Amino acid sequence: MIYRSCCTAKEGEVDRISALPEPILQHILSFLPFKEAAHASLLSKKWKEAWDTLPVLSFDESVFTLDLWDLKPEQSDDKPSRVRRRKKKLFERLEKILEKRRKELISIDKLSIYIEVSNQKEFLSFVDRCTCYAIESNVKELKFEFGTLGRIWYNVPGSIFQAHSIDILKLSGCKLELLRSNVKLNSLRKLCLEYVYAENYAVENFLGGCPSIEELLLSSCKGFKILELFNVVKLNTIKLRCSSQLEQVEINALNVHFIELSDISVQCEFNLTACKNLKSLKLRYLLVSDEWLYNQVSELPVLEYLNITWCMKLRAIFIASSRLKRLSIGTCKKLFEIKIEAPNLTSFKYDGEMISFSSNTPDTILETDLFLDSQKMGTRWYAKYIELLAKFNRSSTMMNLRSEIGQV
Amino acid sequence: MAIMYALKSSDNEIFEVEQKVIEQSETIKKMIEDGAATGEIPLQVSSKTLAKVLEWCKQRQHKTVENENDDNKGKRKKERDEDDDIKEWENKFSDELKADKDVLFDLLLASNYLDLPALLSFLCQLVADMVAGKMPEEIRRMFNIENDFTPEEEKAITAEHGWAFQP
Repeated sequence: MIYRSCCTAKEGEVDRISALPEPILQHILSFLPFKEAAHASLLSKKWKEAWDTLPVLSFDESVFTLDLWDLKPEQSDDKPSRVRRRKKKLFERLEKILEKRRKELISIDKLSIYIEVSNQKEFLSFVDRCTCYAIESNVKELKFEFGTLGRIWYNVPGSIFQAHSIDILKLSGCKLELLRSNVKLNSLRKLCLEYVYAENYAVENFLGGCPSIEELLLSSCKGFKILELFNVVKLNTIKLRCSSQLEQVEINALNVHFIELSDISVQCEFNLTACKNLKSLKLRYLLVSDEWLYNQVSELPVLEYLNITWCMKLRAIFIASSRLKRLSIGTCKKLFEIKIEAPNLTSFKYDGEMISFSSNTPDTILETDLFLDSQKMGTRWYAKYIELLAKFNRSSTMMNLRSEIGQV
Repeated sequence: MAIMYALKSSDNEIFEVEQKVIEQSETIKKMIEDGAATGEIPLQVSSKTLAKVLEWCKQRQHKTVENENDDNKGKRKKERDEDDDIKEWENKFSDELKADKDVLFDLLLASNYLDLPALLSFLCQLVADMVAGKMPEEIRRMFNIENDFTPEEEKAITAEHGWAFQP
């Protein structure tokens, strides 16, 4: 028996770690990879109990075969089959663990599975069964990540979309084919889709079946060209990132207070003007026009925070907003003029080339942070710089000035 | 002027702390809101441990919400330097705790009692890093854990969990 303890704890020294409350032990286990956390169950009865009821299970198949990838072909000519055998064993183990949990009515808070899909279709049935067990154990948070290297999109088992217990769902590398009647995620509050393939109808049907959704993140998704968000009364946060196929985004969600639009295709049209309670707007890597920005901002009555970075089409912008408090603009290379009509603006941050700046009420700006970059810092540059500083100097109690040549 | 509160450790030492620093603790925040904290706030934490807790809270306070949301890409050198400073501070803090495990466990219990989720997670991650990659026997020795399985039980568990060791 190799794992038999050869000695017991040293005299006089106390086992303080095992005296910690079980939730803390489980918190520690949750930071260990699946296999290492399983090691811990051999330590003592207390640790075994902590592992057997661990509410957070995280399974990353790629780490189990890392050592095999280093083998050279001459050391092992049956490498692919060894990898497959080992993976099969591990999946069988995961399945047994989940099956046992379901049988003993031990609930699972969070299950995350990472699997490389390429050339391993045989393992997908394991994932399907594991998902079913987890749902029957009332899983609250589900996270599936599938490597899409082989361009095979994992087809998510339909049972996920009927799971009343799910509160947070994160899918990556999957394909969604959904009918409206098949989605009943009544408790879902947070949804993240990354590298997911879904056509317009599937996205529409998905969101239509999530009446409690509060947070939506769509990143690097494909398939759908139109994103229309209506009748999502509880939605408060929207993040759209990296989409080269989107053509139209129409958000009509009265309770949304945060929107981030980042790296979305040139041809896409956005309309946010129905979001009358939007407080915070973040725009990054977006080719929107000066007019678009002016029109959107003017229609958002309670906007307080606006952050614009890497928007390369902006040239001369005019921001008129009655409630805006903080404005931050960075690295918009074509920008040369900023005009502001914002009586409540207290903080202004700018990072980029020299600009001309005008504001009808510069006295309210208490905090200014300027970082000016320039290749040519001649006399004219300094004259403009001094002119710019004079505009803020009257009111700002805090002024951070930096430029590429050092502190000023 | 910042609002100050007086915290009293279990061995009757008084710590004067700014409200902003101490409100990271949900437990203390609730005590203040409930009005239970008119004079000194009594805590079931020793002065040695409390000093460490406050050291952490003061460091954390500088991390603003905005900084956490932004990614590294847009950051200027100065901000990256600040991140490096925090990393360096955390490494020093971890090294001290690894060297004195009693302080580590006192701090774990204190962060749980004071409801400081960020500190609790940081410490659990630290213990996980200490345990990772080690065989059960090494872990037992490191923390004085007694193997309380009977040989029969151990045999059954190894049969059940021994897969984790098989290549």
